Amino acid sequence: MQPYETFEHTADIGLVARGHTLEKLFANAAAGLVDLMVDPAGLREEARLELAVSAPDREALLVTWLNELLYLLDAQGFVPRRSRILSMTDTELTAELHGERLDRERHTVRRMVKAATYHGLQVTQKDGLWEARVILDI
Amino acid sequence: MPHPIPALKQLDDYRWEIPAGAVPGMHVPGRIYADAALIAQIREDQAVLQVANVATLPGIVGYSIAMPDIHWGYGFPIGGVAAMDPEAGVISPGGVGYDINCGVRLLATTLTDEEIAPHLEALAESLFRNVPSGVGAAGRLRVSGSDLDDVLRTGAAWAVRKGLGRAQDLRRIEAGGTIPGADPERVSRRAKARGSDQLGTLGSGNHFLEIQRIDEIFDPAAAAAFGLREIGQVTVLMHCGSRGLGHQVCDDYLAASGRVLSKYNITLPDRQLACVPLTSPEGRAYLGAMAGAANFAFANRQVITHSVRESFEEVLRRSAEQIRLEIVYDVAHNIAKIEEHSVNGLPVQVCVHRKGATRGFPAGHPEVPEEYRAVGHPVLLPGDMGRYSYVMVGTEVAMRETFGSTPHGAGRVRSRGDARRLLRGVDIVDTLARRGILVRAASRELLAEEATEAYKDVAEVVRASDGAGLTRSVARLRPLAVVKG
Repeated sequence: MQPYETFEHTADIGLVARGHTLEKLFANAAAGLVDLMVDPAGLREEARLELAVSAPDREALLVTWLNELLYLLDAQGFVPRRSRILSMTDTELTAELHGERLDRERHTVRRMVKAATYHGLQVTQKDGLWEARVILDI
Repeated sequence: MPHPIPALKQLDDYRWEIPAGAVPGMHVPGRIYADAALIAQIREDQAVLQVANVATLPGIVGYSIAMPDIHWGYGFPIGGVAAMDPEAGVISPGGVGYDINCGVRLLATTLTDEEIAPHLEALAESLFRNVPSGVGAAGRLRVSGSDLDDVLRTGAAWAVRKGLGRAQDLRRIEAGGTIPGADPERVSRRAKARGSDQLGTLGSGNHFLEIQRIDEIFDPAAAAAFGLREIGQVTVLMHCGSRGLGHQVCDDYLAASGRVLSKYNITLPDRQLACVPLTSPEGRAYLGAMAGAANFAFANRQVITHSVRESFEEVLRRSAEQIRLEIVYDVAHNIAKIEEHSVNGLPVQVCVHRKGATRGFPAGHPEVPEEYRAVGHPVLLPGDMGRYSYVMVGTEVAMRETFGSTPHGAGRVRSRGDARRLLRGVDIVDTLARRGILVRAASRELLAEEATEAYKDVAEVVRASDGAGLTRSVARLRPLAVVKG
């Protein structure tokens, strides 16, 4: 199983994430998002952050979760190398992030993601594997 | 699964219609402006379906319109225009997009390409340093509290008051650089936190800052009115928007709109089209927040303009006033605006969503700056970094048919992944340098995605737009040096 990969969209980028549990799926989607913006190989786990997000349903929760990470990057310069979902329902989750502040001298930056969108958004389960598809605005 | 792509009815060489009914719930037909060659590309992805989907939004007036540079977006197509009735219509945060008031600003100098040739490398280096770009870029300013509220309320005028510009800059910006009705209270604390160190930064993706030369003049009278006098004259073009502050405003209000859809009996073919009545408290709140974010973008382009002037002064050791570096024009291409238009011969107010479309008010329109009133205001159409960009002007046809809207760029023809695969192993910086274009970029990977090969030739868009009568070409600009995120 590939934890995440991209799919083609004319102007932007589609992200597919997979996981055997919803918790893993959400963590893998976060890793996929970070990988698009910064080379994760250069990231360290220097700080730990805990956060909680909520949304009206499971699909919206994924969008809200990814956009929370974009908020943290802009507002605090924080990039997670790894995330773990501590608890979740269809409408809320808490997570811990391990990462560090972005350092443009040391990190290889790729492209900024403006937002995770609701267009064509899907979270599905098949044969015990969860898969999410989300289009990111670049 | 997505609905099948609707069939198109050709009206003439440049107009295609999606009949109302092609997708359930369409209130009006769709109208795409393109020639046969462009329409073949447009049909390849979901852009046509997105035009039809927009036609289902409550209170849409006339047509769901698409410009020749239309391509698949999220929710609205990129290149989409939708005018809504102010009473029965809706406002859609997704129909404006995450980058509220993403737009383009052109500056003109008195310099020639030959004069700056020996300094080009130093200029590119200085611009790259002075105008931070790419992931995590922070500007030199920190703006928060009541100062940031001032930015949101007054836009470019704030920057000019702070000494980051000239008083006469403001008249050459759409809406004078200040969209009225901005309400900082409606911009969340989170949005403000994202924007507080981002004024004066370019962003990433397709944003850029270019030094260019005028390479062709098609309409000498209009060009002269815009201060574009001769072949070889140096110009500076920037493309950027409201950064994280705008993205957060969109995200906040998309979520808020999504929560109240059932309250207003709105059903949608795509969640990203979430919208609320223009007259609702949620609609008015978004309009106030969006105007704030749009003003933040005008301030951002104003601060960048100041940095550009500083770079030229630093490298050329001449004052910016002496080489003019004055604004030709600044136009938004992701915005919703309340405007007066004529529908069936009657004057009406509508809320025009332009998602990847440029306002192009023609000669005589009261919102065109006085010095351009006989010509119309400039429409700026950036192409890809290896080819050229166009200066155009809007027409009466656009006023009549597209709510005064014109195209905004080239439109992509290859996805980012395809472009990267195609250009694997190609040194884009070197390739462009051999064509006389210097590039400074924060990310090499992004360069491949933004290469010429990823875009339609913007000249094709120009041909269709001019052919349909929406615009008239004024001049073409070729890049000499490019700063990218």
